[in-house]
Amino acid sequence: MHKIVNLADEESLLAHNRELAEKIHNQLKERGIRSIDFMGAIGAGKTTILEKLSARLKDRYRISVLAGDLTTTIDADRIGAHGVSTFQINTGKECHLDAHIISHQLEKLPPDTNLLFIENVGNLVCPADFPLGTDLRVVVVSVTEGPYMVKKHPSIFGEANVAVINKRELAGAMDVSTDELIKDIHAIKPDLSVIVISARKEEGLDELITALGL
Amino acid sequence: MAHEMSVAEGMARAILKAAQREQAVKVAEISLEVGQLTFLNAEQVIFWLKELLRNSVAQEAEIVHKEIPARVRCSQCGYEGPLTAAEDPLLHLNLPVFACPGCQKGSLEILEGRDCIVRSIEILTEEDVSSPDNSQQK
Repeated sequence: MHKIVNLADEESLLAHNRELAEKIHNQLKERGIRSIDFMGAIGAGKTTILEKLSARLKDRYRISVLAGDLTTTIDADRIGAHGVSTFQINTGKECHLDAHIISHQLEKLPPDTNLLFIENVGNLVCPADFPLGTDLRVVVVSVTEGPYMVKKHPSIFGEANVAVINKRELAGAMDVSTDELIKDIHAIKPDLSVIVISARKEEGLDELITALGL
Repeated sequence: MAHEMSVAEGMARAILKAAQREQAVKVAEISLEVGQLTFLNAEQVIFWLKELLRNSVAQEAEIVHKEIPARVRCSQCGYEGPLTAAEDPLLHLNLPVFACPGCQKGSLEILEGRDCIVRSIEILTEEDVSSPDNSQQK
């Protein structure tokens, strides 16, 4: 007789990650650290946004930034140039940050940190399955990724608390309508707050800071 | 490399651990459940799982999977059930809208559909393999 062995209660990777994320969230709360995870494709503008936010907010908050990338320190170096504490996490070949990686980074944060930005690996799919325990998850898209960016990757917006459409100054050149992108986002998550910005031209940043509750 | 492989590694570990615990000589079938709200491609998970189970007691197992639809609870109106699908002719897959089907607001708690697990495995033990011979001897 073949025997059926039930494995439904075995620990699954995604469930384990969510439990760890919950712990991280509690730890951050206890330390009085607000936390935001930035997700988005390579080139969407995550690093530029974090540079500009860091520059604007560093007098009001003690900011630490964890920057995830496969191999380089480009992101951490760029953000670090604005006088905030940055820590590069090189994931090697892994396509996303996970709660386990973050839990090891938390002890490195300067004790007076009260605002933590996490820049996820440039990827619009995998990071969504791995919450990191942050208060908010932000998804960044940009008009240079074309008019179908949202329609082609709709699910990640379900995970997000705030969506950012970046590089609005290039919308005309790209023949992309930001209104259409907003409509696409709202078709997936009707009450998601969408902020249209140009990080490079520093437009819409105050609105973004408000939407992030900072 | 996408995260399908990380997920498959966890599954392979769980399968081989259970097979050893149950003293399986062969795993005949592996049943997977893939949540609708995961960002995983089931075909890729299965591909990696087969690779990872090569040269093990589970190398010939048939891998079957089913999709677990999302189930949510709304903290505002108390709705509990599935999400509705987005209506867009460009979408060829059933894509859920992240708003409460009851009140159209967004304060949803996800109850089901975020996991990707091994539901069960079907195994053969030494007894299963050798019992026909035993009966012949008697």
